[in-house]
Amino acid sequence: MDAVREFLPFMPKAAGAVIYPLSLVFLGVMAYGFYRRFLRYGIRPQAALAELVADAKETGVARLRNVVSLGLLHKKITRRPFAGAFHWFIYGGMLLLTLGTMTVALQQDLLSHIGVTVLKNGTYFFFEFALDTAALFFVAGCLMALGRRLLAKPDSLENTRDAVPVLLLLLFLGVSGLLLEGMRLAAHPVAWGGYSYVGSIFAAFVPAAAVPSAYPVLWWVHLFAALTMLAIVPFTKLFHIVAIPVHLFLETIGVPKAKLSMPFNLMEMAEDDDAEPQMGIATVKDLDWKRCLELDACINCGRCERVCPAHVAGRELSPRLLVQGLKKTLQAPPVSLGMKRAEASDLVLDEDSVEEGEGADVFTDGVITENAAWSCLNCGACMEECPASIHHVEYTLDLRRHLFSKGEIMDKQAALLSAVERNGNPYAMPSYERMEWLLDDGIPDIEDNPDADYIFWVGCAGAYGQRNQEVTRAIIRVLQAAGVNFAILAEEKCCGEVVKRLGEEGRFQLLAMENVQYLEPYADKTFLTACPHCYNTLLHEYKDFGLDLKVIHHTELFAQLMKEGKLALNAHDAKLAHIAYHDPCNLGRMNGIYDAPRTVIQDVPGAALVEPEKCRDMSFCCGAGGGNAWFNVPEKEKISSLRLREICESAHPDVLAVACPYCLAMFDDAVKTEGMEKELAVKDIAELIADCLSADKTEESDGEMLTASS
Amino acid sequence: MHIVVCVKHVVDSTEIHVDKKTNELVLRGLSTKINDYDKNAVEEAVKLKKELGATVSLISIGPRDAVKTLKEAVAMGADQAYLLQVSPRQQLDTAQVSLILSKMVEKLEPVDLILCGEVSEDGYNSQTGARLAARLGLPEVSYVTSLTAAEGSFEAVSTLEDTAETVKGATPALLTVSSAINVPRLPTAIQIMKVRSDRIKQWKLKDLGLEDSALETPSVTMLGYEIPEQERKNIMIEGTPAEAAKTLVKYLEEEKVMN
Repeated sequence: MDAVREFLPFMPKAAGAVIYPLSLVFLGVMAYGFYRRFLRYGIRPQAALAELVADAKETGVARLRNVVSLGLLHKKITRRPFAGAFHWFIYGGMLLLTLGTMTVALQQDLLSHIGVTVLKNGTYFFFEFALDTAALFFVAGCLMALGRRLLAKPDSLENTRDAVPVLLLLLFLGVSGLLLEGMRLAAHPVAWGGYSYVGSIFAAFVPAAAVPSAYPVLWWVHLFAALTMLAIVPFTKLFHIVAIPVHLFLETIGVPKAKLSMPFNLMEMAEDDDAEPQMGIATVKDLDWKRCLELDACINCGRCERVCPAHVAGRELSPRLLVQGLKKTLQAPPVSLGMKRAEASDLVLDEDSVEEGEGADVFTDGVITENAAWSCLNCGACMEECPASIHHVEYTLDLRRHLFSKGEIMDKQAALLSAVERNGNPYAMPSYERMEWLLDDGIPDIEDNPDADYIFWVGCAGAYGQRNQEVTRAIIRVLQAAGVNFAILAEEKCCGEVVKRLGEEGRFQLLAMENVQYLEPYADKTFLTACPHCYNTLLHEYKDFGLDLKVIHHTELFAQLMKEGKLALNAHDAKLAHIAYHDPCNLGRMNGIYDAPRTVIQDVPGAALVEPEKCRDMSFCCGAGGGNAWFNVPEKEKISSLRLREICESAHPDVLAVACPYCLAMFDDAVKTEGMEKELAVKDIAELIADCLSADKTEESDGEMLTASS
Repeated sequence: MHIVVCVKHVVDSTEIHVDKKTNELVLRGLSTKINDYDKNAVEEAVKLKKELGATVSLISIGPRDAVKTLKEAVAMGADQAYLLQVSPRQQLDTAQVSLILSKMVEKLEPVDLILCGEVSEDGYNSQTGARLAARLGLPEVSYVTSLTAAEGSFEAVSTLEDTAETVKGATPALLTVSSAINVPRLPTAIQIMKVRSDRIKQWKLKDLGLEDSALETPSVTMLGYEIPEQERKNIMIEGTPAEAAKTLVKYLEEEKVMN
């Protein structure tokens, strides 16, 4: 006789037949829940379906890849080892247990009728072993998650009303399932019981005599619990099981991380059209259904909050609360019983019903403060961390755009914009001073050196910032030493990054169009820049205006020059012993340039690269991003000081190397406020290299000559 | 209530510089903009508009390019603008400007309040407001840092270096406002672009009943200019940071820049 699974022992015959109709009832509740939830997005089913089909046709494969890697394979979730582990346990466990239950159902209700038995002998033993293992991990995962919520209680974790009950329900499902198995094994012991190794342990504690009366009770409770779990998916945190994969599929594909949205295009706007284009969002009513779903996919895990520099510094912003706050304002339209589906979904788009609370926005409604919107550093740490792939920065940007359109901006921001508009730089320095000092030094303008391979885009900071001018000079020395044929642009002006990130899209576009027109003739050159912010704008944003530029960061070019052996370096300073590198958000996280700067530092003679705890894609902003270098918001601690202390405590460097003018300015300042000027030097990587150039080291000729490639 | 604001289109003073080679003042080819002080006047008018339901008209004399400036000011919240267009090369002194402006105001009457910036960034004469008031025979208050108005009357604080005078008067009147009176709003580029051109009406001299000769005879003519040498004290403060800070505070107190 084959070893097979005993189906519904101790249960009346009818029990098996009840499961399906009963399931239908619970699934009906679930379906209604989903319907209500999706109503809140203002979806027009037909249009949405058409959009979905179009998306799937065009970029279906890439979208599925997104779902598989971020969703099914938990690529982001595992960034936090503990939470990652227990999520895998619960998710993997539940997945296997569900598949197991479905296999049993298939075997019992379909295959057995045609005389096929799959679950027997070896296959069955493996099945029992696998499901017991899955259940073990599942229960362990639930306990770990409960332990975190009830004992560890990290600040970034909010125990919403449903959080603990849902986990308890899951835990109950796992434990009751194992107990049912234990009861079966206690009353009807089998030779292969050892394969159900967890159930066997339970069996040891179950008195066999009690089984016939206790088993049916627990079985019914287990069944109801399982069906309840399904039914409550759309009403609880469990909604993420559906919302996140769907959002991952719907997410815009192929947009570089650094690229910001473009809400309208001035070039395409009809001149006689009086209507002002939509500038940002006042409330969630201004969002399309895909972005409503994006908000709704937030499970409130708090990872974004943990890594947000603004939040850590005690500013009013928490990316978690921003998204949660917006999410909570998603309202389903009132649906009276008996209303037809089509009517209900039309209601959402009906202007009259949407206008309730007209003129109100999320600021006046108290969902979020203006300070919170301005606090965002656009560093992208939240987005890098988010397992649901929510684009937090796009929301702060849209809120800023809205504030601009209402004129609700700070004086410093207005002054900044006027300066960029009039002087072509945010420093409000005269435009004629921008390149004068370099041209006076004999650095050629592109007109004088049309054959240049590289155009050195100096950037506002590199041109006007006192400390940054030293970096510009250092870069020029390195370029000259390596024999790079380059030129500058006499008419260079602000790229507009800060204008875009502040949310004044119109001014940004006017500036961008002007720049694009000026730069177009040089599109065949490679643009070299020391500023990751300029890098982003030149490379990613100007594409919207038809200009596709080749852009290289100075650390990338230096790494290349060193590889080619074009830079001869000699030891400069014994104090260079330990160099820590701070990854600028706009270079690292946003453009994936992590290795070039490190290669360059490692090639500095006598230097050892040390890594701070927060490095690479986990880097912590210097505090200047997203326009924050130019205005102040209330905070408890300076972000630059926080970061500086963290670097020093985790890496103990002698030199802090940076690769961004904003980072340099911030840390230069922080070193002074922290009183660390004697212990720590802050330098751009270009300065480290320029300091080691053999040409100006004649007095230190005893230094050993090294070439970078050696 | 009808408020008229005088707005000047000026070269960007932060961009004026001396050409290193020729040692001449570079005035041509510079970016142009709205006179910043006039933005304060527009802002104050728009505030009164919101408060009292006033109508705000802008008047300006300038080249075609001044339409840009007027669009920005209309986007701030004014109702309409009137430009007397002159050639970009046209030089006008304050006597000529105030004459033309007075005719523009008369054409717009009834007018209750006329607001001007206290000074223009390019000429720096601080005369136009007062001259215009004189031509119109209106009471005038200069350097206003605070203003309340009602139908038929106004109350203003005029702040000079050391004193702040509060004055009351009946409208119509002319006030020149100082930059301390408010922080002008910044319309977005889109809002400026979306100002329809028909809200900016262009007038010619003859529309004002003036002859071309009104532009011809300035009462003062610039003969030349030089850049004055500035004396700097060049004080170096010695000592430890704590001592140096004390010395610095002492100097600053002597200069009366600290209170």
